Amino acid sequence: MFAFRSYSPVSARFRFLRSFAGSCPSGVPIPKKNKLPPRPKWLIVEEEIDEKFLKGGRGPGGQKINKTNSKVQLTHKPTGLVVTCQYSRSQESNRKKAREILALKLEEQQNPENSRTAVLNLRKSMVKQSKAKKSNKKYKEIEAKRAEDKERRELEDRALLEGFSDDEPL
Amino acid sequence: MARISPRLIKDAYSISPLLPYFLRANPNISLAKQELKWVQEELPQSEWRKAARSRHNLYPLQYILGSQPFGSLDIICKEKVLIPRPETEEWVLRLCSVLKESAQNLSIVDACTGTGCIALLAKHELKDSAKVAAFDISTDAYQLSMLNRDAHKLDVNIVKADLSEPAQLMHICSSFDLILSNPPYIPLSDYKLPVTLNGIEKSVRKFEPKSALVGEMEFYDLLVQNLVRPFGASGFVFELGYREQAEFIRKQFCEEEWGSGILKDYSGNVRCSIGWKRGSNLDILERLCDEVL
Repeated sequence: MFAFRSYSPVSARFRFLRSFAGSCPSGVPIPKKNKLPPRPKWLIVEEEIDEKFLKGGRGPGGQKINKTNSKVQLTHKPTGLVVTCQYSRSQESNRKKAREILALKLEEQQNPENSRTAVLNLRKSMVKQSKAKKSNKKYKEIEAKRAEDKERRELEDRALLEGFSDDEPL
Repeated sequence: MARISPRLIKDAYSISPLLPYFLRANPNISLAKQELKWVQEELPQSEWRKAARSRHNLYPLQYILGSQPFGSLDIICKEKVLIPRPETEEWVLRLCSVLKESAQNLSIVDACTGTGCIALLAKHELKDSAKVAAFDISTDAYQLSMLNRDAHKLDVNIVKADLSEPAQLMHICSSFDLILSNPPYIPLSDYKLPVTLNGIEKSVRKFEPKSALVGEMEFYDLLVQNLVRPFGASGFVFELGYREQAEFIRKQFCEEEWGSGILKDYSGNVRCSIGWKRGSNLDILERLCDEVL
């Protein structure tokens, strides 16, 4: 199986972040986009991968068929993980992308706490939370101001009414 | 061609009004969506509708977009020239990885080059360890391969020549070590049949050049008589579609002098005939074979 590689300084920082994720205190910064854990390319061992090109089954192929898609399917033999990729017309970039996806999935399996995808998800939720917080704050302020205004107006009205009632009672 | 259900058309329309046009060429929505995505990525919006209409007519996507990725190269595609196939890409890359291991000063020629894809990818992969030439009889193919060569700035000698005229071939070079080719290999009887009867796709029959597709044994005969023998080649890789063609090529050589084998593509179909002169530096071609004949 794999040698577990830990990125101690990075992972320690993210573990720290994670412990606060639920409460999201104001003091913890959101992980920066350029300081995420690296893409775990070292998890890909070519000998452990079974690569297949799927082009709509077993036809005659060659000159007889003009296929436009070039789907790549990778099976990771030790774990049985299967990923496919067909986002590009180029087989070469599909192969590359499929390996990236497989590496992320493997890391997720081995090290769910501090994997790149976990940190990415954490970042996403933190960004969302901080946005929600900001908008909450903004609307609370507006609300408070409105309430204050209303109160003040009521007071003024009352004072005015009271003034009337003092001079000549209705 | 299977009928497209109104349900499928409705579903496609709800995703994008252009999507139903892609259903004739792609039986399911996910493939159609992919093609539409590529069209939208690579063409300006003003051309999307026209592209969708031509695709509905089964016009090849590569002609619409103007290119086809081939290995790490992007090959320009135009009408009247055969579009490079993924099966070809596969064997050229496999061949190059074998040749790369034992870098040597090889002289390679690609006969019936079409877009020039085989010669250009070989030159791109092997860099300075190989001298590459290519020729084609068609003027359209000759011009397009020159265009592709200039687009990638690769040093490949491209000539317009006829495989059946030995005198024209002499002008290219005096000797070649390795002969590559993807000649027309579909017998006329199969050219007329639909895919389900081991024939060809309608889109290919309608829009790709017949001269690049129809042939049986004659091109392999010419390749052996006019290229392999007179130029003293010590190896060859010819793409083909039928086991009989591989056996025909095998019979042209004496077994003591030449080794020969078959390469299969990723779908397990017979795809190439490989030959090497025993004891020469192209013995390594044996490693490419999935089956030795």
